[in-house]
Amino acid sequence: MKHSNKTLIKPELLAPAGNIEKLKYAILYGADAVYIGGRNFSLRANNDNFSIEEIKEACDFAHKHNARVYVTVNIVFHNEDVIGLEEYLKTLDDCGVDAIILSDPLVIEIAKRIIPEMELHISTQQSTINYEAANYWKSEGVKRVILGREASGSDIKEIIDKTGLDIEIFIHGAMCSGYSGKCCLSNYFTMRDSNRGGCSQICRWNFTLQDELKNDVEANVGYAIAPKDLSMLKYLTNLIDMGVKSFKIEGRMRSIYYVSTILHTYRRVIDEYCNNPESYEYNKNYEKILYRCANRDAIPQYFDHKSGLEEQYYMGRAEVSNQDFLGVVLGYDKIKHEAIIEQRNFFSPGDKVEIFGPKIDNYSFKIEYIKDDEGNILDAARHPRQVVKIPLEKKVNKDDLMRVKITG
Amino acid sequence: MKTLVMPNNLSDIDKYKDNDGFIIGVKDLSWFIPLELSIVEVKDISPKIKEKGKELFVSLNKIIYNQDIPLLKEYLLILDDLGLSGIMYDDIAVFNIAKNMSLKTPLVWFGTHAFTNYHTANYWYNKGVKYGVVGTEITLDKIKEISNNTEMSLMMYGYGYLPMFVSSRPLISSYFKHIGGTKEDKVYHMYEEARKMSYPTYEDSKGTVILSAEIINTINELPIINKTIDYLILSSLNIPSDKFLKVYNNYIEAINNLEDKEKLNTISKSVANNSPAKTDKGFLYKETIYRVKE
Repeated sequence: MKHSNKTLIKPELLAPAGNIEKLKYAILYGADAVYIGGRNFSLRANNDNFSIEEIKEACDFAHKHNARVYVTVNIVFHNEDVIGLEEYLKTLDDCGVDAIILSDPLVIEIAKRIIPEMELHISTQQSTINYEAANYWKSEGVKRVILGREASGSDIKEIIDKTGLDIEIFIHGAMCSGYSGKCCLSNYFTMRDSNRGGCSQICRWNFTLQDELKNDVEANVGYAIAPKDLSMLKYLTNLIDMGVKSFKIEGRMRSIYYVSTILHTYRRVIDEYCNNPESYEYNKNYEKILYRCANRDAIPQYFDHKSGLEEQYYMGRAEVSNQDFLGVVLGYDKIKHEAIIEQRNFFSPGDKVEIFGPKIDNYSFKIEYIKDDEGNILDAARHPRQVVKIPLEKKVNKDDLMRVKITG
Repeated sequence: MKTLVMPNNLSDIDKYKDNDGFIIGVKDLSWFIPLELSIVEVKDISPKIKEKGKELFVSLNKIIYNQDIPLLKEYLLILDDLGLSGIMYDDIAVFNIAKNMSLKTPLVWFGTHAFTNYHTANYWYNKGVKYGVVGTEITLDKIKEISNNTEMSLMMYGYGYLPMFVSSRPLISSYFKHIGGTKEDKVYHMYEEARKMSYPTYEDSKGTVILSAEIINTINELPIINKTIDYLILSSLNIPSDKFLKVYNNYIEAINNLEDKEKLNTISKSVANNSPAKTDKGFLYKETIYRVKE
């Protein structure tokens, strides 16, 4: 893609963080901001989530690295849930939180009274897909709207042009089958409240389609409404050109490896394009890295057409866990030229692997040998969290990650 | 307490003698409303309903896209001249346009799953929204608490299938394309083996809607509901006219006999018998789980 001379505003890369460890990795791997949930008032109620002390620690760490922290206060409240909300919002403000993400407008009213300087973001749970709704939130003092994932490229552009609001969109991760906030399948199937963080992901279950008389439409052929994942990689430059303010990655419950890999990749694309749009070229290797990382296909979904046949799965499918993540770099022995690795998945001598990290280019090599921490040669690294050493000429850094060789 | 009927065809409207009003939808801007009319038909039917001394609420409750906004503005102006009792909405765009156009027709917040507390009700009430339809997944006790703490006039589903899920995705026609068949214009069912439940599922140009497997029946609760809410909604969505008319008459009889518990029990059984699927109490006595682990 070639561009004339123009000034591009680099969008914020916004990462999920399910706990403090994930938050630190997210920031180290390129996030400009992270969104987290507290122990109350947040969707993903079954995640670890952050205590007040951890929120404070998160803010301190993020701010030290010039990153921002947004806290989700995005449940749909029941009467009794409001108890303690005012104190909680005040505490978030005291912790140094940069913005709160809300769905229920009662939070706006309370926030404006209790913490008037706090930046407010409207959650995707509101399914905002038009400029009139966005303009309403703007009139309420909201700084940013996270659009519904159903918004097309032209929808996004028109909303930016007609509101002047900061617009945030999801660029990668799992999708809902229905409109966010308009699905209560979880309530009816499992009694878990989808709009208060209990979603049991019914849209990933297997069903049978029946006709009006409740006879199977097709014998022995399952019915599913499960969406594929989202990836906006192919359209990232279009979104930057439009002036999207923030690129959000889904997945507060995802692993460190997943979040680091996704961030590391999108960080590179954003920087490569914004730093030199004239010479930017789409890199197929990034696709390979992103698409291997999750256990579902990732596609643009709604960007340039209505979601249809290709955007979902139809049969029950086993979601095999990803085995690419091999280990975390704990350190590097400059004298022996060995990397010290904490194992995450099985690997053995002869395996082709690569190490990536925030401060190094991807580095591929073949494992020549593996030693344990007493220097004994091993036939493989078999045990989770086992600390081993492997020979490596190139210096690597603490918190770099080792994976199966994907690119090149 | 007044009674609002969501009819499923125009020709039945004269058969409802004792209700207080109707809720209808408008093609292209409504979803899960049994009767969606063209704007011309709405203009035509509106004075006829008013002549009968009944109220008319028009629901524009679908998610709004940018491309819908010119049509929405045009329809809102037309509807505002009809002297409706209310315009129902979910998407905030409807509220924003109505406010900016200074429309005189009262608004009804029809958030379906979102109206779950009185604080948010008061937020909208203070913005000028007169009515709200309480969420379909909260308990009767919570509805009572809402009623005690808001000036907003409340509506609730008293009878009908409850909408559980709305998607922009063509989840039935895509399936048929996938298996090499053709979707017909009818209501299908999504069957779940473990619960052995069939959930009515249909698709139109706006996407896919999935309804509850069972039909809410609140006959026994009417004495409490009568003191709690202002409008009871009887929905004919996915219910044949003949059956729904019987149920409607059951409800009218029940409303006229609120003090007679034994009679209400009998009527409730009739409602169950006249319904095309098993009836239940929805979430009126079932508290959903906020989080699985503490």
